[in-house]
Amino acid sequence: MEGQKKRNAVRDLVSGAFLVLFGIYVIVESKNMRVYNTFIDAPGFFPMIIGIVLTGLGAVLAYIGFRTGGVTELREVCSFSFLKKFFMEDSTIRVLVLLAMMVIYIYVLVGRIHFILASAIYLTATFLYLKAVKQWWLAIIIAVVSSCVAYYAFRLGFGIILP
Amino acid sequence: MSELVKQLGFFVSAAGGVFEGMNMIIITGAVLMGLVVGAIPGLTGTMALALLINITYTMDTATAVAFMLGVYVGAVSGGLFSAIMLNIPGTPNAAATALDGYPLAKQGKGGKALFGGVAASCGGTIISAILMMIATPFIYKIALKFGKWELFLLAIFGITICGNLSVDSSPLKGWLGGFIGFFVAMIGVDDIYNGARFIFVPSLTSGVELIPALIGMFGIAEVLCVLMDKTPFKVNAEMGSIFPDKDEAKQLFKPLIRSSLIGCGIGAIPGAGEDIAAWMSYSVGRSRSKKKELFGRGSFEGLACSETANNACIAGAMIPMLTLAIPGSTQAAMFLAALNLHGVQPGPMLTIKSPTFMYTVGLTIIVAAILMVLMALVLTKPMVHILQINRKVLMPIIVMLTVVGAYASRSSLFDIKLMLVFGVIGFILRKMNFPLAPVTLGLILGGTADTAFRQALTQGSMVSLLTRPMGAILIVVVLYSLISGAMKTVKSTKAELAKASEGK
Repeated sequence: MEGQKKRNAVRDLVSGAFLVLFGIYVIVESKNMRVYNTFIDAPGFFPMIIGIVLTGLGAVLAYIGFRTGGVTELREVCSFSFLKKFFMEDSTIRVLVLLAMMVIYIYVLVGRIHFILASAIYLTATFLYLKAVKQWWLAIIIAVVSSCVAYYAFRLGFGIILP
Repeated sequence: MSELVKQLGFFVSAAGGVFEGMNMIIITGAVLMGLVVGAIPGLTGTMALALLINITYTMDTATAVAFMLGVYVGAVSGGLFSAIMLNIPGTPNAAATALDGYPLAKQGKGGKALFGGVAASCGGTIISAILMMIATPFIYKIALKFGKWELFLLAIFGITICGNLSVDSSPLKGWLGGFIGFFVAMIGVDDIYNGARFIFVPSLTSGVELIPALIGMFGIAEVLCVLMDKTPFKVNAEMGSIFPDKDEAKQLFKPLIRSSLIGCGIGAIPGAGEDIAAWMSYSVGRSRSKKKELFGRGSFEGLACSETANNACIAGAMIPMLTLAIPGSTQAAMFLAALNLHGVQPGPMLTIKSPTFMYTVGLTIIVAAILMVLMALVLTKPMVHILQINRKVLMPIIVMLTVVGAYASRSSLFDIKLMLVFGVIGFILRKMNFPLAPVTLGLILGGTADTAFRQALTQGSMVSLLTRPMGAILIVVVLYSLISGAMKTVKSTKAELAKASEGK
């Protein structure tokens, strides 16, 4: 429980600081936007208010994180031993690998090769990585069948032609 | 009197469409789909609706409405299956249901709890749909008088109240989420001058497409969260008979009216959603019950409190969505996105352009609720097997379906990439404890807030608002939600600081 509270402090500090920087970026960008008539009806007016609010609320969040021990914990979180432990954790590795597979599927495969093939490759790789089924050939069968079912169901049922 | 006759005419006309044979088949299939999706832990109603929005693209509007509402009603109730049989709520709104449902299942009354829960859900849905059909015409009349300032204040109120209610302690992250959503809505050319804003890549010129963004935030982010942990599911509860006896049925229907009113009321507050309604109703139910000692140990009354309220939220959430285009929950936001896809623009003008639409929605919700009980009679026992479906097989298939969902409406590869980006953003926000409901609301309301605010400023000062009753009320409620939220933040910060200093 105490550990969770401390992790929350780090989260508040880091996300608050990020939002302050992001808010400043939004303010600067909005200020540089073209003014057509007056500034209060210019395209940059409302985004500037959003930037100010993000900066202000982000600063409050960072302050809360700072006061509740975020800095001390951040030092610990940024230490080599913690980072090593974090990146060696099962859940972290799983998320990173799954995300990498999604990136390859969406940014590399879809649109370049046929949807059925792209999806079958992605699904087979993911099933095998997650050890979703005991036999490798079963993973391939499920992947191919689900890709084909999705493709033809959308094509014939809903008239949607997939890439 | 003539107004009543006119509304009755709209009601009858809507009923003619809803009770058509094909429509009933669509609702039946959609409710079944919703029940199954809601029952599987990790698959939420919001995710299902996000994935299914684009499937409705090829349907006509009436069919699409029937389909989406059927899934919505089914998915909200479906969560009770895993809550009762596995002690794992299938959807967040079924968390309170697990408190009494699981002990009942352990006592060998799993079947009774499941059927009783579905029956309570049906009762709550029907009562709140009736309330919705009565209340909505009055709200339309008020909404038609709204000017630019009122629209802007409504958007701000939506964000602040949603931020206040979607987090337990400080609303700070809820508000920040809302403004992050506002920022995303600013991307692209603006509505007044076509001026470019934050166009990072040319494909963003027309702005961030709502549907791929929602699919990413509620689909990809959910898949990553579910696959992060390796919790195995095992049904170790007893099913028994599915029909409650007379005494149990009496307990189930005792909190019906009260919980329906709570659910409908909470549902009408932007972003509050089903889980808050369920917990509030459960807490009120426990304090008013004559058998409060049974709450948390297997009380049919407790089970009914949460299930009635979370389903009553569905029609409640439709009230602000239909009248003001402000969704009452994330699921209602998905429904709003689906309506936009079909060219239906909810808001004050809907009552003029399509006066039967609200009754179509209300009646479809009622029909879906009745069909859900009939289906529960047949499906309660087989559904237990579905609960144990292998999520490691299911989740990657969901990813494939998110790709299809994002691509379908515009046949754009960019939308698929955008969906993944929002999936990652959604995942990070969740891990950083930012609620996603205010982000969604900000994304939907950002454009309205921006245009209404700038036009209002050029038309006149905010002081003119004080002369209009609705304007003055809106200023008061916005100020109230801001001040109460700020006080909540100060209080929770002080408590955290005290704890931190104790720790030192």
